[in-house]
Amino acid sequence: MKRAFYRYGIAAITGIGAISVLCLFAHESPWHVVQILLNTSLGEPEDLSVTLFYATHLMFCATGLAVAFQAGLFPIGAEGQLSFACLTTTMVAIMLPPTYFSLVIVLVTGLLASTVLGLIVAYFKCKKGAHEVITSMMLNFIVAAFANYMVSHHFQSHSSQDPETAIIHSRFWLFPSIFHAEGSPANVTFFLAVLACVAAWYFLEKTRPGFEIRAVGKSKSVAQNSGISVERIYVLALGISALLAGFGAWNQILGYAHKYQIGFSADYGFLAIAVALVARNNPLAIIPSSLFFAILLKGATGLDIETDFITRDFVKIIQAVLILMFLVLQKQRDKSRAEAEARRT
Amino acid sequence: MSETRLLIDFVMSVARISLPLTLAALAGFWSEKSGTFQVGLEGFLLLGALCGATFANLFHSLAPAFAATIIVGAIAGLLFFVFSGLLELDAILVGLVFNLLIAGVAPYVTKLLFGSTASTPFLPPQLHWTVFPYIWLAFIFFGGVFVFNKTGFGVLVRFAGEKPAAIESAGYSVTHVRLACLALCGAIAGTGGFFLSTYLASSYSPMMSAGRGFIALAALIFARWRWTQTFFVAVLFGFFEALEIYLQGLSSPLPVQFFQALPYVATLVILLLNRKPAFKW
Repeated sequence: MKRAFYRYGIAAITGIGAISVLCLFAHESPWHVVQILLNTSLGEPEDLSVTLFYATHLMFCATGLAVAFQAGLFPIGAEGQLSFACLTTTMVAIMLPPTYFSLVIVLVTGLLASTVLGLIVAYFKCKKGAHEVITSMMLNFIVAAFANYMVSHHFQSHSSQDPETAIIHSRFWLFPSIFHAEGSPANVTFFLAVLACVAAWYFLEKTRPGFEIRAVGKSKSVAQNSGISVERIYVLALGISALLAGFGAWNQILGYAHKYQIGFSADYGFLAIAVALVARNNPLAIIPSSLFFAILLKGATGLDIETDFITRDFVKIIQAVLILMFLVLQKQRDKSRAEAEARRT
Repeated sequence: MSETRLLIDFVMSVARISLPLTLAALAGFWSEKSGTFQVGLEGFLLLGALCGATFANLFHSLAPAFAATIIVGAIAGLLFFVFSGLLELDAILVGLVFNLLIAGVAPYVTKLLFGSTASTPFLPPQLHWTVFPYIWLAFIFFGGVFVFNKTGFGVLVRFAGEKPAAIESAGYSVTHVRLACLALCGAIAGTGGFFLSTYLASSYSPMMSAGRGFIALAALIFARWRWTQTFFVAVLFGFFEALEIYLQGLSSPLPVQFFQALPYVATLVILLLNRKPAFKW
């Protein structure tokens, strides 16, 4: 027990120490950096609104990833799935007349589009044995190129210099802002995201397919021998994972921007991997974990302005070190539990 | 006449573009053969590119910069192993975090040293090797053939990946073999990055590895972790990338983005051609 405590301490001190040393190298006190991060993310209502908006994206992507992680898969395609969902949603919303029927189509298109991407990864995994890290990464690049092409060749807004589409009809602005200020990013989808986390938790812990997903994640051979089709579970997990990432389009397009902007994503899909890891793939823990990473993400913008040598990319170092620290702690805890188990038997 | 000229130019550009990709794939070979799935190649390439441009700027000479890049790459490989091997974390997670870490460290370093998070200052034209990169690649390739097939170390690497218990019982340490392989992987991939910033370009620019590490990984998987095949598949991917640049130069009716996506689509198509699963899950 005492040894475990030392292990925890060493990991925590090394991690925080490493970050602090990097801060000091750049002539900043670590405490000042923390202050900037908190101030920029939570100081004003406008800042808080952006932070919650980021948290919404992270929650959708991370719960999706958590479902796939629980099945022992490691897709990193949430980024591409989110972009693809946003792109298709915008395209459909621009092309269709603003009727109630097309409202349904607009809502569903993004979800379908991202699910298709997830199923492609599942196909490669099950039929070709291709590792999902590779296929999902390739799809990310392909989606980025496709979005560039669609916007620049077909949907470029005529009234804007930026690479972005025209604004969709206001009938499609489905999700009103939480804050009263005009154009405030956080919108009602934030609550949907929280709901999605709870639903995903219920699905994984309390339903039969959820149990099968976890069983495959724990041990493929045991699951297979007890009559679970591993392929079916892979398709299911990757499909649900992509579907949840697709909800991001509601937040981004129908809730906030109302248009597709190239480069709108602050790497939400990749950050969500960290969010899910820190939450130990538990959808309920993803809610606070998303808020934490959203604070880091929003806070990072303050670093550019308020320090001389530390830029927003510094947050990537902080994230990396925190994740490593967390993974090490988690591993140590599992180890000391296993040791305790071994002593008892 | 001009057609042969064009062809030669194209072959040269394939060779040039394949360099970082091939070195990364061959680097990944050592790591994966010894039992560490290597997702961090992207980070190693970026690190190598950063080191190459930075050291060449500091030393005003390529040879010491090259040596320093190898050393930094090897140290990064060891650092990777501290987490994936000694602390027994999942190698895929360590790889992804490693990529994230490098993506954060690179702008930090350029900002401190050059006062900008964009590219490093351009290298003067005399700091440009023309033949050495290919000699180095040949050295790595044939050296790898020899080491892997003819030496005891090669045998140890195979066993570390496929039956670690066997070399443990023969009195060798799996940890040491994997450690050596990761240092080797970091060093070789680092040189790939070095050529990326000093040979393909003449400065480091953010995110210049552009997914090559992942493409190299795909090449490795497609070649089913065989040395010579890995080399040729990596060159094939280089061919697609060169094709993209070549076709962009022509005023083609197809949009630019089509060619941007070409190497990635090609990767998927090649994976699609895989008949049976490359490995059992």
